[in-house]
Amino acid sequence: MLNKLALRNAKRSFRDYLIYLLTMVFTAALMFSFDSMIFSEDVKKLCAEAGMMGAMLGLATFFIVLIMIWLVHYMMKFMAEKRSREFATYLLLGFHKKQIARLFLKEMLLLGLAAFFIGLLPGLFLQQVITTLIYAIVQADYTIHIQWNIATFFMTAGIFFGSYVLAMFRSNRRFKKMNIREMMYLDRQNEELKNGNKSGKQWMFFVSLFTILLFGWMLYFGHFNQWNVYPMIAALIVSVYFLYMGLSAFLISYIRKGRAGVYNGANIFLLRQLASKVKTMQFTLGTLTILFMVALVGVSDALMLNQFQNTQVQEKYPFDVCIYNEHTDYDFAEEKALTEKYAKITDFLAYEIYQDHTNSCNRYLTEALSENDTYYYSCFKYDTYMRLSDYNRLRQMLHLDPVSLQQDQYLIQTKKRLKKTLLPFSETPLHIQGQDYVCAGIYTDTFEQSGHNGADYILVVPDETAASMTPYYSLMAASIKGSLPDDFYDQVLSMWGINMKNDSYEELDNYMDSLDRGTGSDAIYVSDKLVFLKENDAREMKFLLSTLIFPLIYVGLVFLCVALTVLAVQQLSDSGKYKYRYQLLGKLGMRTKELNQIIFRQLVIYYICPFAGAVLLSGGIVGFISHNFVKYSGVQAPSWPYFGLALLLFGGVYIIYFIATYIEFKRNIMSAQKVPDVE
Amino acid sequence: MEELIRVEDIEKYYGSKNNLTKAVDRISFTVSKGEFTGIMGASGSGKTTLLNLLATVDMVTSGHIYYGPEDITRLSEDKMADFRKNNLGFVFQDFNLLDTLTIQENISLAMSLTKKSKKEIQERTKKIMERLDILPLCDKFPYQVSGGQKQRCACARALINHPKIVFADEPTGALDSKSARMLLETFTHMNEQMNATILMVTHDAFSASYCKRILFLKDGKIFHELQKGSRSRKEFLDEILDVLSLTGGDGDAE
Repeated sequence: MLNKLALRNAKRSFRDYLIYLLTMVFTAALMFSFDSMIFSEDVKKLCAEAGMMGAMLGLATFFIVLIMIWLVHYMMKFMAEKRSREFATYLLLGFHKKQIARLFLKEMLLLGLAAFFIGLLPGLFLQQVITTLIYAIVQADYTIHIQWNIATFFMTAGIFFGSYVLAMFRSNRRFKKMNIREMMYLDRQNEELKNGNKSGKQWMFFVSLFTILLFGWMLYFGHFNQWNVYPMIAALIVSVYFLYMGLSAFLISYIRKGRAGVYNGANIFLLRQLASKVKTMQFTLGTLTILFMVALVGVSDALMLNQFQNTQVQEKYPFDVCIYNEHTDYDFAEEKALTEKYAKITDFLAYEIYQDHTNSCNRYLTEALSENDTYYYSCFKYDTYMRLSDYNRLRQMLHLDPVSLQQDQYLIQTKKRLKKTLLPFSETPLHIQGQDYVCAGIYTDTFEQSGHNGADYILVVPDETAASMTPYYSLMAASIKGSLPDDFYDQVLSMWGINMKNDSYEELDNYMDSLDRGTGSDAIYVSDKLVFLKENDAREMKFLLSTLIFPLIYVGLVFLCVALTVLAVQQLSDSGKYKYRYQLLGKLGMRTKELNQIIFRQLVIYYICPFAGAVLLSGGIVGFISHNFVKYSGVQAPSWPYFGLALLLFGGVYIIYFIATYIEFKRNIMSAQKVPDVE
Repeated sequence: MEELIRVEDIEKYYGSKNNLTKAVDRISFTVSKGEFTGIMGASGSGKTTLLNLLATVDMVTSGHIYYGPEDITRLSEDKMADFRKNNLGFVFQDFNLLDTLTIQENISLAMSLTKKSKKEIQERTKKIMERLDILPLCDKFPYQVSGGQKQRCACARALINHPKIVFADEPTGALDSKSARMLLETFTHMNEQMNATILMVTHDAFSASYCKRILFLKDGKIFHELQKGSRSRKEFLDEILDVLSLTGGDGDAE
């Protein structure tokens, strides 16, 4: 009998809390598909760095678990409250509290099980979508085939039900404290308005507004340091909660002042409803705002990184093969032979970089970069020079037009984002061996300038000038047809006598430390490899960036859906209570159309409340992040498209939830208006 | 008649030190087996609180309530649950039926907690539904039947475990007059034919006139008591109305 009761109750909850369950299904599906990436053989064979994906997804899972616990706990508390009278009846019939707790947990587990197993199917589908996406990102072919991995299943089940158990653990305490009398009359209570007319907390509204503005100001004008950043983040979070506490007081004071707007149509009804709702829900609303904010920032950043990875391959790896060697006059014969073992070389150049025992450009850049930010500039010991003839040969390799220099001229080849920084440097003549050279221009074609053709820049001088300089190190650049193996770098290193013993990088690290070499001031995706292979490194870079992008989107989506579920469920279950209020409005002579409008307005306000705050806050944060991202990475794109795209994505999900809520809400209220009591 | 409940000097306070409400103020009385007792009083007179105290729904602030030799104010929570299961039946104004169970299941749920055999449960459920004239509804869900039928279902549920006493809190409150009359006749039937002891709280004089004895409450105290004796229901109703008009109570007859 009790099992039957649990089953029937679960079935009813399935109907009543459909939105919650769909979210759980969706979460289970996302969880399963992302977890399967951790164990996927297809992903493992794709890239040597596959473990990274697992690590990042593991980190994401941590946040997912937290939010799951919150959602399940919230929903359990919520359902238990809604059903307090039912529980009171059980108690009257002589159920022990433990029995009721067990009954309720049984129901919850049934719902969880249903959501989990239903979620597996879309999960398998999503798994294919994600694998296909990852393959597409690294430009490999993938034929769709279901990967059923028992480890994935158990991990997902473990996390899913682990969160459940943790949430239940907390709600069990509730049952112990149950009191029949209170529970019997609980649903007769309205939203509590202890200080129904007090507006004393208005200051909170202004204080939090001030804190948020202060945060924005500090963000934009760079006043954050390691000491104040965490307190300020904490202050921001607290102020979000304060904002809602203040907002309610603010609304009440607005109503009390009795401006004309209050008495316009049913405004007083809406305003009072909102004021009391905000008051009882201030904590939930604050949490929702923060969830939306985190989700928006996460997804925007994911989109930003995606943009970065789409444009950076050409930027980072213009040459098919590029190898550094510390020795001068090195002919790269063995490396060339090794390359030819796997692919056909269509163009080849072995050349030298020169130095003149000076470092005026290095000093200038170090100073200029540290002045405007916290750039870390890693440079060679001396300024790096290149012969014009080598430069033109390399340009030819990249299908660029050759350039020419006069006897007393030099040119700067640098990264796009540094052109402005180097402009003042180019305006004063450069002293080379007692002679002044005038800058003929700054070239910003992509040129592999993170440790190969200089660190961030190379100074190109006429061949005769270079002839009197000291050779610094050797480079080889080649265009090839075909692919090189992923262990090509290791093979080159072992040719040089550097071996990876048992995957230990110690020897390599020691060797790298001994080199006089810098990698420039890039802050995003920096590699100090001595060998760059366009195809292989691009793949690795894209894969590694994906390990950030996918978890960010994963967390963002789950947070969004959880927040929307809480909003929707709140409204829908309140529609039972609102039924009578709206009925009354109907009796007072309001037409159905007008009632619908009020319902619509109420829901819109309620849905916009936490979202608007989150959009403003996260907009500011995303703006700041992308502003810095542009500065550090040199991506020439404004910030709003990422945020806009994230908003669009979110708006879509938001509207789906909104429409579902609106339809259901209307149905609940209208059903009360039409159906008379059975008699 | 055999004494069933003995209430000794009970008090119930609500609220905090500064804002104390005495809902029940030193009340003592006894209820005998087979009695159909009514408790009347205006809103806020403490009648529902008194019922809740007797029914173990609420805890007394001081005093004792004995069921035979057992003092229920001293029971632990689990013992209290078992006590309710084996000794008490409830009928409420708003029915308190479980909407996921059919009428029949609602009735048998109370009995299935007592670990009786399935056959016994089914037999007794059927019998009691027959006696209360709701057998044709057995497979319907609460939302499919009328208020009066729901309330008779609640009565059946209250009676299924052969409780020592049935508590009814404004049982006719949500019913129309015809259903109310039918329900009250059901109560009389339960009391007279099935020997159920009933304690009913009501503010409605017409409902109260079905009782054999009435306690009038005012400000948490018993201020009057009426026995029906051999009078007709009509005569008893008149007397109840007299008492109410004397006290300015809000009792109303149809």
